Amino acid sequence: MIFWTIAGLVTLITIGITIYPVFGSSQAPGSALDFDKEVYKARLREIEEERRLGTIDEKRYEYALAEEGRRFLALANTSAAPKSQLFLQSGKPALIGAIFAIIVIPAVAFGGYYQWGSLNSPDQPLQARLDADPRGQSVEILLQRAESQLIKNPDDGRGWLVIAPVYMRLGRSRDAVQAYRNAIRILGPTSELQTSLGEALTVSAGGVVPEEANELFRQASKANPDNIKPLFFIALAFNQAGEFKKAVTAWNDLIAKSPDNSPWLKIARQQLQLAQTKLGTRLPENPTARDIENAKQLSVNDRQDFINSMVERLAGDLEENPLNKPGWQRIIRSYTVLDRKSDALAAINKAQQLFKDDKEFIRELEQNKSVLNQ
Amino acid sequence: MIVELGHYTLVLALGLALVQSVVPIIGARIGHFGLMRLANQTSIMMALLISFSFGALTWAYVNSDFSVVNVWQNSHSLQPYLYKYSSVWGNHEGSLLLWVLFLAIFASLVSVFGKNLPPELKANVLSVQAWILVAFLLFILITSNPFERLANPPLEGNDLNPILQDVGLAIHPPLLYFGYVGLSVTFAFATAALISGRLDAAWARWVRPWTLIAWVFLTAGIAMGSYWAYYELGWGGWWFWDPVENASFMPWLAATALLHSALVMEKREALKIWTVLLAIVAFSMSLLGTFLVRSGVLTSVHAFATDPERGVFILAILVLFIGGSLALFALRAGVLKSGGLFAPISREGALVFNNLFLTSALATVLVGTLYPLLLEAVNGSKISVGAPFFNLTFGPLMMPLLLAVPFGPLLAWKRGDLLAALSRLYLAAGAALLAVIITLAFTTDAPVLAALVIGLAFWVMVGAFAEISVRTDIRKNGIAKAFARAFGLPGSLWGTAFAHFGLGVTLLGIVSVSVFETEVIQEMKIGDKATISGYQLTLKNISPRKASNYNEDIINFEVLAPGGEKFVMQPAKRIYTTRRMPTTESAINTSGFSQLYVSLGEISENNSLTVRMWWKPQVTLIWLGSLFMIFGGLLSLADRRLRVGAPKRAARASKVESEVTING
Repeated sequence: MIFWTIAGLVTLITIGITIYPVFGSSQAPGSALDFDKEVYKARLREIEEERRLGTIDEKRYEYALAEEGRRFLALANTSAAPKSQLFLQSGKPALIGAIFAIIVIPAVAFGGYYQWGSLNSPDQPLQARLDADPRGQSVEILLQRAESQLIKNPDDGRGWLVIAPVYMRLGRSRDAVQAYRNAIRILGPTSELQTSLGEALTVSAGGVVPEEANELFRQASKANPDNIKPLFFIALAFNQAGEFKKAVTAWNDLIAKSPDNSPWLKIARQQLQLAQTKLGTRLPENPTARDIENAKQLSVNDRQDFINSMVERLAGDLEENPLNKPGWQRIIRSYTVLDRKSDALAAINKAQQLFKDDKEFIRELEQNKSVLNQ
Repeated sequence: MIVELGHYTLVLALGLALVQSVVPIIGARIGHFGLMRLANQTSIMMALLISFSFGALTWAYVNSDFSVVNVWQNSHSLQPYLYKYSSVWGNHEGSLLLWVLFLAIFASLVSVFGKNLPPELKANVLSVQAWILVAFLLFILITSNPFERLANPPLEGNDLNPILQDVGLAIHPPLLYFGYVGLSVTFAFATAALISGRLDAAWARWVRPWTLIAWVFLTAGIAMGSYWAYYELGWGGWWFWDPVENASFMPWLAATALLHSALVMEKREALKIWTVLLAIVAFSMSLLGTFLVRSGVLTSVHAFATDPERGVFILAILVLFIGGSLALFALRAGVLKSGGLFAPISREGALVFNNLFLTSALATVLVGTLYPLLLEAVNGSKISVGAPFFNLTFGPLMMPLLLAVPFGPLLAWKRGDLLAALSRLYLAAGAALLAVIITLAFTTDAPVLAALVIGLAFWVMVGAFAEISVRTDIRKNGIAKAFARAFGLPGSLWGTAFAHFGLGVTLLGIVSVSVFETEVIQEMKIGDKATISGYQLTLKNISPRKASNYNEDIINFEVLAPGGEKFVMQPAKRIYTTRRMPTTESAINTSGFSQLYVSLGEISENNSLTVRMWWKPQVTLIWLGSLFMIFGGLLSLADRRLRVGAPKRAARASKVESEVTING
């Protein structure tokens, strides 16, 4: 509304300024000859000046004066006289001109703005956006706000600490790794930070604990033996590395230290079973049908099994960008470790199709398949 | 709302321009003063509207309003303030808005300062200006709208191209554009004259200040651009015969020719048709330059063909205005009476000589610039017409012209005396000869041609003041009286002298740096030394620095000058954070008129840095010369003697007029 008030006002002023002189009744400034006379006078002054300075001698001076005089006379005889009578005021032409302006100006302005303009787009200067009430803004905007703050002030350790878990939740694990690294650089290593960085690294690696993360978990556990989370990953790393004996010890240790209703116990027990199976030390008691049903129930209702989610993410990535050999290797390994045999076989089949020219890889896949089929 | 109001006022200006392009010219046709007078008000209003629009875009840039696409694409919230302002015209859309703003400002200047113009002429001129405004406003609104918006703006912009983040960009384009657009006024005057069929000495007198203003700004813009390229691009060159440079040089050549031919028309009423043609050509060159730079045709003819919207639009503008005005010229030139007669050896003759060579030079540059483009368009082959072509063609054309420069002002109108003029130039001839001898004596490997050109430079420089010396005549009048007389001389005479002197100064700089420049390229590690022209450079250390939108490594050189004094030079390598774009900043040390120039190359595998060093003797004269030219132009512009008053009845501004009379 304010916009149209101002725009309308400006348009009105513009039209007014345009048509006012058309009707004004002041006298015309003179005939064309009057203007020529001014040029003639200027020329005469100039010639006088040249004589004063001695640039031209008396003879040339006379001659120049005569030439200018002739020129002016010629002008006076031809062009100007009849024209000067044509300076009419108002009348029909004025009316037509005014109507033309009154129609064209607003028509072009409104029509053109309707065509090209972005009505109702408010100004959004950056500072105002950053100062605005954060409630009601999208996570992306908030995140960008935090990011631009951190770009301006990259030594704000608390800022990195706040932003890192948000990255994790949004699935931007690589950014989370960077954020945790910055937090550690500024705030110094703590058991919790090292664990979080290790976790972010593990997620970035598609669920497989990388060497750097493993080292971080060990340091974290050493710094604070009460911190249970690193123990989980250390045990998982043993499983993934095929060191099942150490894995069994680690899982047992974790289970012993965990409070009874800890959410990770389910997974820990599954993984322990897996390790024991591989070692052949698992007690030969099959779970009852009810147990399996319960486990299924639990795994659905329980806190999201984050390893599965990681694997799903990797699977998604591979669907989008299938020509990623290490990705396939990793996902097959993950499925194998998680004992998702049919998924693993399906992945192997797909990879075999995709990389049929890569003989070495095909051979590796065949080996994996035979292991799974045992 | 500010941004949208800016957009609205731009569209409103289009409506106003449409009215101004039709109504006043009809008024002039039917002799209706009210309709003619309308252009006075509308052109001022239009300048105000477009100023507001430009101000709104500037506001968006300064406040980092990334909801404006143009702002988001070309700026960054962490830029220093100066570059937030200059980012406005550091891109296609914004620079066109600046172009149009200047166009409107010029029209309003004609309206305000044109009280001495007959109403019909003024109405026609302002209508023609409005045609150009309509064309460019449509171009902006349809193909290059700087006010496009984003619904969900990002929080950070893409930054301005790092090469453009420099004080040079803040100054160079506005100067150049003001010059380009200033030529639209002379074009409008020429077209108006063709429409009304009236063309005489008075016309030349009325046009004179506008051509001069445009010329002064073009000169300043080109010189500034050249110095900017020199220090920013790090190649140490000051002119590359690059199409973009030629695009600004061609209007300058045409405007220079126009200034001189208008002189003949003003004083002698000769060369009328030619002068009008030059006025058309000068602005056509401006349009051509705008087309070349803005259509993308330079990057590749094919890129132009695949995204032709903008290019075709400007091409249409080009064809419409150049073709239209030339057609009008062809229709009307026969009606125009030719003027006074003159002998070949005369002031007029000298100015014709000047015009012949300047326009031939213009044709040369035009061919050299367009030929590669045409060839690529026809058969796809990419050739580059570089410095060798221009040096072989443009250079020789300039020599006779420069030789003739001192003669011109000394020849009388109608019939001159060449020998008498020469006898007044003995001092200049002596200085030139001395310069040649000294050059040959004190340099070992300079080619004779170089010595001759240096002589030519001195001939032009000293000869420029021959007329002043003749008019004051120290030997006859004594120093005191000569000084008094010198001060009494008209400004336009001093203006001519300074402008011609500047030409000589620039020439001296050009020869000196092209012939005597030395260059050393060396791989250097910390602690290494290099020697160039007696200067010893030591690479001391590298200090990293963090600026708001870039990080840089400053390479610290300690320099020992031949005279024993020590100073530090700090070229740098920068990385601009947003665009991840590296740039190098050269370091320049000026002593006298000469410069030591250090520029950085790549860091090689064994961790040493390639350093390019130049000793550029008298290089600054190139730009100092143009400052003299500008000064000359301003002196001439300030010459009150040449101002024409408005008729008494009209003048509520009669004060000015009576002052002029008193002065006269």
